[in-house]
Amino acid sequence: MKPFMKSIVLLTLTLLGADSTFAEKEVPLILPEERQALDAQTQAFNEAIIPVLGESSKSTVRLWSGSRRLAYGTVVGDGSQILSKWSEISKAKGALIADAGENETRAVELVSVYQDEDLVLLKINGKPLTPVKWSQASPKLGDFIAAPQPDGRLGAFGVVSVLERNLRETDSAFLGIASDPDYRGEGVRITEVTEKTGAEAAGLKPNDVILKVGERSISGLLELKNALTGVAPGSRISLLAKTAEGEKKFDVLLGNRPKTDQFFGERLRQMERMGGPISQVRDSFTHAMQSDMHPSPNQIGGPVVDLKGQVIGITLARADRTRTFIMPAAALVKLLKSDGVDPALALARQQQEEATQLARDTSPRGRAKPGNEERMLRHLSDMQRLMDHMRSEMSQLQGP
Amino acid sequence: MPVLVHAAPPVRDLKDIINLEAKVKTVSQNVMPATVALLSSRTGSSGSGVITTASGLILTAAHVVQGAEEVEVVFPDGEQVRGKVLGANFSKDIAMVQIIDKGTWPFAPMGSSKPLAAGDWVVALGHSAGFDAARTPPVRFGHVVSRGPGNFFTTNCTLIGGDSGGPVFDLEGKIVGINSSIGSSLLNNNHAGIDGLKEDWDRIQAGEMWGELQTNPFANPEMPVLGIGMGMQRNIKGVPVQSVVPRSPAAASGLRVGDIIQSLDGSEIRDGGKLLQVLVKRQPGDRVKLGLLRDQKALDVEVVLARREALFQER
Repeated sequence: MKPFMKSIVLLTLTLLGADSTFAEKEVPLILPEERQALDAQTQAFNEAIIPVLGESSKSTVRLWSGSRRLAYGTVVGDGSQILSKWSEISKAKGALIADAGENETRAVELVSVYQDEDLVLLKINGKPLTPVKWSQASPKLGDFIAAPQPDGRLGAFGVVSVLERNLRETDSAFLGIASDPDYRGEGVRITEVTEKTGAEAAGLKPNDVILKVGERSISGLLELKNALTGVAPGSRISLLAKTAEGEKKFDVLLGNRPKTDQFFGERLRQMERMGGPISQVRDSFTHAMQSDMHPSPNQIGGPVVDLKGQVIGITLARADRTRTFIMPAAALVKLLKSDGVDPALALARQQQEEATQLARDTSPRGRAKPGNEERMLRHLSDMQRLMDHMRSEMSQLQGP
Repeated sequence: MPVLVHAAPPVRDLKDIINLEAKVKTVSQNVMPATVALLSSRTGSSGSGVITTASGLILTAAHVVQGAEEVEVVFPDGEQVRGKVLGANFSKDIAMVQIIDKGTWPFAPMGSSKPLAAGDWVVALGHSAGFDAARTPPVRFGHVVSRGPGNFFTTNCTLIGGDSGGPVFDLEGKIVGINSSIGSSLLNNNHAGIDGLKEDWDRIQAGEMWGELQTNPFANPEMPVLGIGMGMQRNIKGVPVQSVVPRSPAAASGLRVGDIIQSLDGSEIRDGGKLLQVLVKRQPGDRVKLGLLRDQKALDVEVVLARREALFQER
């Protein structure tokens, strides 16, 4: 048990989770009485929630490739199609089988791929299965939600941790300024205006201080970010700023956020992968509701219900220790009306992306952004600590 | 007193789960505005905290404010104000920050952590992985997994970096703990109990900093102790008393060298390891009943536990 603050230190701890020798010491100081009480409570809870799972479990399938279970799937449309997680299904070697429990199995084949959401549509060969009925309800913070197994039992349980949001940075509106972190007054003081952005076009200049977005007063950079969150690229906003010529209103047309370097992100993600069973593709979804449930990666792709048993979405990814992403029903209904891409094309793109990523991970970045240097050093020292910690854990394991 | 006082109402059917959900929703929505992110440009750290008075007194973890005199306090909607670091007890991983800006702030009341037992339902919040303008601090729901060590308790509300210093609530929306650390297991998320903070309230508010971040609970200065030296295990079940620390709780209760401790509050003590495991779950000031074997006769003795640190302090 270590205090944690920087995520990398945490990873040391989650990394150790991969080693089963630690399993016994999961919670080192737990008493047998406590363990008993928890087991009894969990069992009672898992039994009591079964009535809400019944309906949707009929639309839940396991997808197999040979003896390997790849993912869950959700029966959609008229019952002849299944939606599942593309990056898991694409690992299939040979024929795919959907298993709906109670000896109901079907051969399935790839139809189309929705790459942005990492989903794949499959076609059932043979008798249709029971399709889901999507719920119209919009989930609230703290709602109880559950993912069924095909046999009607509980697969995973959690709450709505964060309401639906867009995880793609490039999809959020971009103003195009850098700010002065040491500025201590009201508002945000501009240090730099990025070329070819809304800020430049509107005439904002370094040393201008942004005071308001619309009618909302801005206390600092984070509030400015917050005010711009949820504003779509292409929207116009009105800014009030203090300039050399006094307070002035600016009409800004917001553009897209340029793609940012993911160098550190990729490094971190690689280490996360060592932390145990999490999904390989687990970010950049455009419609993602966050939950604290813990399905395993090969349980992703199945339906999620509320306590009325209504299907509010499907699981998109087990992202890490604290997060599972769920695509809400309304977004899924819309997605299913759109055209995906050909699976062969998607597969080719995937391989290309993997190759690029490999190259990126192994070659140093030529150009580092200003301000990144300090962060890089911090990451380096964190890596050092991680290594030291691992070494000491290893030597303890080996014993005298 | 049994070790486990199971306070959580049992879940028998779906109706119980629906009632539980209603409470969790209310708590999540009510306490959200009081859950802030604490950023320090000086140390580059990013943690969480919870406001507990309308005048802006923030409770957080000691390791979040370590090395910082001032922090940026960020509300879930992005509003930023300045906070002054008051004091901290590192052994308990608790600290306070006061918002400097004038105002009336959203806050959550304090509850009580001592009655918590395995199975009690809790809600944890925090700005996981740092403040993110695109989302509110994620809600996590779970139950108490284990009491102790000392003032700490463990839940299965999964935490990650950035959650440190964030609050854990009971189902009435009262603060019962502060997020502190994690182990590798999903069940191993540790929180400092709010009652331990109340004990140190005046010192921390006055700006005192003391204690040490301790990863080994048995070496923690806040560890509750009897004040005995444990002897070698003999053929008899129990822990032989080899020495008694002068002016210790054991001395005050008349424990003698040669006594064999065979139970603590009814829990069987087979060996020294078990005694430590049971003790570490208690808190200094707790009154425990020891079952002794003295001159081959059974004897019960009550002992008030002391802080390890206090045991060897000059008086």
